[in-house]
Amino acid sequence: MSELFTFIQGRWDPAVTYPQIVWPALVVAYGVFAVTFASLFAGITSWYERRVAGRMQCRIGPNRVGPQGVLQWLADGFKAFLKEDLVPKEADGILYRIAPYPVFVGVFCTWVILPYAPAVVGADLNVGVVFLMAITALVVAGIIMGGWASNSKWALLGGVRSAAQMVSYEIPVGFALLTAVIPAGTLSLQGIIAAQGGAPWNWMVFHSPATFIAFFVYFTAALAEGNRTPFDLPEAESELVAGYNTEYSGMRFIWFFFAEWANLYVIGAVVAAVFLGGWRLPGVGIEQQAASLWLQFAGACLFVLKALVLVNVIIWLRWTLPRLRVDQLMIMCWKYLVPAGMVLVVVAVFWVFVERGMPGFARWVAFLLCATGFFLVGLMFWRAWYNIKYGGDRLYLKFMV
Amino acid sequence: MADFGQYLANIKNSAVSIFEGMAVTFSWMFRRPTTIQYPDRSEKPVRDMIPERSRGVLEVDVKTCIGDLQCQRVCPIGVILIEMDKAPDGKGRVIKRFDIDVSKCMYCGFCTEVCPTNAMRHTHEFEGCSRDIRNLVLHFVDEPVPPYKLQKDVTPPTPPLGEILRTRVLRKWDASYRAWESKYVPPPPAPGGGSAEAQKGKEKKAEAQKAEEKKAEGTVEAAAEQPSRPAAPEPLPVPEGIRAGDILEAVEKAKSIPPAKAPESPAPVVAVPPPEEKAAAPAPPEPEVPPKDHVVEAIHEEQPWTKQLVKTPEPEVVHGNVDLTAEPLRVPETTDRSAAVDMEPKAEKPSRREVQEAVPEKPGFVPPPDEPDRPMLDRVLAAMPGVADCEGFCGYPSCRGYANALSSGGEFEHDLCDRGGKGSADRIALLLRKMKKKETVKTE
Ligand code: SF4
Ligand code: SF4
Repeated sequence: MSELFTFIQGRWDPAVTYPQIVWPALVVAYGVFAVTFASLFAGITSWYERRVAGRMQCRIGPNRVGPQGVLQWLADGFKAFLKEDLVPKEADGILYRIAPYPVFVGVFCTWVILPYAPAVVGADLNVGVVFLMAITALVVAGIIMGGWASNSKWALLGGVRSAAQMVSYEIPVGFALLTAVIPAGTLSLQGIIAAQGGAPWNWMVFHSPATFIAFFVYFTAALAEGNRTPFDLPEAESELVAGYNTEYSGMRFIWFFFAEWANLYVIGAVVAAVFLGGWRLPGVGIEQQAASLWLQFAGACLFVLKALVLVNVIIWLRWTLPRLRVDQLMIMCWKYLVPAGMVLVVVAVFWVFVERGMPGFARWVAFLLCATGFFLVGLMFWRAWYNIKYGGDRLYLKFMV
Repeated sequence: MADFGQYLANIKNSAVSIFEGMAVTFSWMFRRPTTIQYPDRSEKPVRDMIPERSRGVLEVDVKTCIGDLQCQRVCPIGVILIEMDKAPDGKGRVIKRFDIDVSKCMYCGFCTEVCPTNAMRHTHEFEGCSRDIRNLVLHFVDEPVPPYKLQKDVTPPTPPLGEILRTRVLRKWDASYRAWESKYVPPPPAPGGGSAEAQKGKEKKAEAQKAEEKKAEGTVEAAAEQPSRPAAPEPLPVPEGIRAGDILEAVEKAKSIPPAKAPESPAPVVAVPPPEEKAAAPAPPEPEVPPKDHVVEAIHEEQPWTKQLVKTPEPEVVHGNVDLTAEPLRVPETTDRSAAVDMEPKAEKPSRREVQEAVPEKPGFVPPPDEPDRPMLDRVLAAMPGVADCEGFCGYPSCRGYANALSSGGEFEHDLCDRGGKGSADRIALLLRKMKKKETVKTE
């Protein structure tokens, strides 16, 4: 916020912009913007995800409310508003009622540090990454609260599972972020973005082999932390009815899902910021970008675009992979991701010396990794095309059906 | 060490399998969904696509019902209600009422099994959505019908399956109960007065609900009190909530329409072909199946689209290779814009965009000939290549299916025919546009 304020003061005469008015107005405006952005994103994603899911399962998906069903989420929300707000008789009334809010707040508070552009960020905390992990841990509290207060075995099991899962996956998340923090030398998200470059080979993900693998480790662990399929054990429909929100109805139920979908953007944005260059534009210096309004806007667009691509990948993963078993989930965390995270941190530290000693070699590795990354993306498209061609089908590029 | 190898192999396997799995789901983003969008875009009515012996909503052909009440007795639920009465001339009996409460039926099929004449049958209709549960009580008798006389070696005639249900009963489901009840059920003798309220009654449904019920009670009473009723044995069952105004209206309508033919008594059984012939040609010999009584005509008048439910014998269309250069499809001398535009109705000037769409710049484009009398299905079919080794990319089992869906407005995508390519797609687009224009002209 202060960056934006200084930006405004730098562009217009400080004598004319009354700090007493502009500053609070900015804070309120940004708050409203963040909440609106998050809510709209969550709502529209709830429709978009169903459409994508439909296509991936050879179906069509909701296409009735509004053109191509784009208003489906409004209809769903409206319906939820009209539902009775039930509290089970044996439930712990107060805890039960407030449980959705920690979940909601835990996810929405991350907007404080999520950057859009050099000057557009809620607060550029110098402990940004730590704040991120701390505030998302609030979600666990809400989920356990809901599961416990419901006084239902399904909800309780869901809540306990979620606690175990989230606490476990905090560790690989921490390691993976640390791997990116070491070369950047700062915990602030803006600082990490500034340490990267606009061109792909300057992104953090291609910085060293350690960060390349850390990207996947973080992505996996973040999915698990956000309760997304294939790690959605807390709400496993097949065995736990609906998990921690079994007893919830109406708007309280929607809060949980709102938070979950908003969390998609959080995951996408954090990955985009930490690993994929954030708002950096290729070929534009930081000072240059910070000075120009239009370059800031372009950077924000690029950033949101990157985040949305990642959101698509998350949705895509959800409709591809089956849910893990509880033991598999724990094995995956403790036997694979945590050791991998430890090794990655060591390699990242080692790479700092490599970079100092052999900058040319480090540069070549970055190019090589970048090529690998794009090769993988290309391979994916080729495999998809192959599946269409040899699956006895044809390319059909209409998305409005 | 072997364990560590296994450990790495696990990582590799999961990575590869996730990657491959994602490639499969990703590829489906670029394929045609297999969903058939029922009912908007199904190739033909779904009742024609479901298995032949599936049990749908019951129908009864009262003309061949012998009135033995077996179905009523065998039904475990009591769905069927038959009332027999003495014939007005004192000889024999008549079926006065034959109601099937479809909302209760569990489609066990007992009643169809016991029926000696196959009067009671399961149709392929299954869409039982109704705005009022009372709509689901199907009344099959309008005026008392004498029962069919069973004779040795004579198979009772069977109308096409579902015909009676569709033309007479079913389509009312979609309307609100009163809207159709007062119009299509033959009116009982009109009670005097009430015409002033009749106009008022039309104004608002919801607000008038209670008042209507009261009025209806009054109506029924009034009808019962009328001494000068004709000598019909009993008034037909007057459903609850019928409005006096609607009755009057219906009476007026009934008067304006030539009087209904008396239900044909099945006496001239001789006309029915002997069983062997019947077996050879299961289709009914004469297509005059839709009962030509005033009820059906009233339905047709009210809702013209119901006419298409009555089957008219369609000349068999030979489907297959349609040679575009053959006689009926003449190539116009000029393929410039004005010539093609002339095919359109002169009255409205086509927009620039339309013209551009209608006639592609390609010199080889052959616009479809203008044959307004030919059925649209044939014309669309003629615009397709109709090759035998088509891989069916359009998603329909045959060209005819696709053409049918296009010409009936069920399918909106005109460029699915892969073999026909762009030329075919353009011709179809032109035809469809003409069809739409015609429709709009008609409605105006
Ligand atoms: S199908 Fe069964 S339940 Fe339905 S009317 Fe016939 S006998 Fe009764
Ligand atoms: S429908 Fe068949 S079983 Fe029922 S009364 Fe008529 S003839 Fe008898």
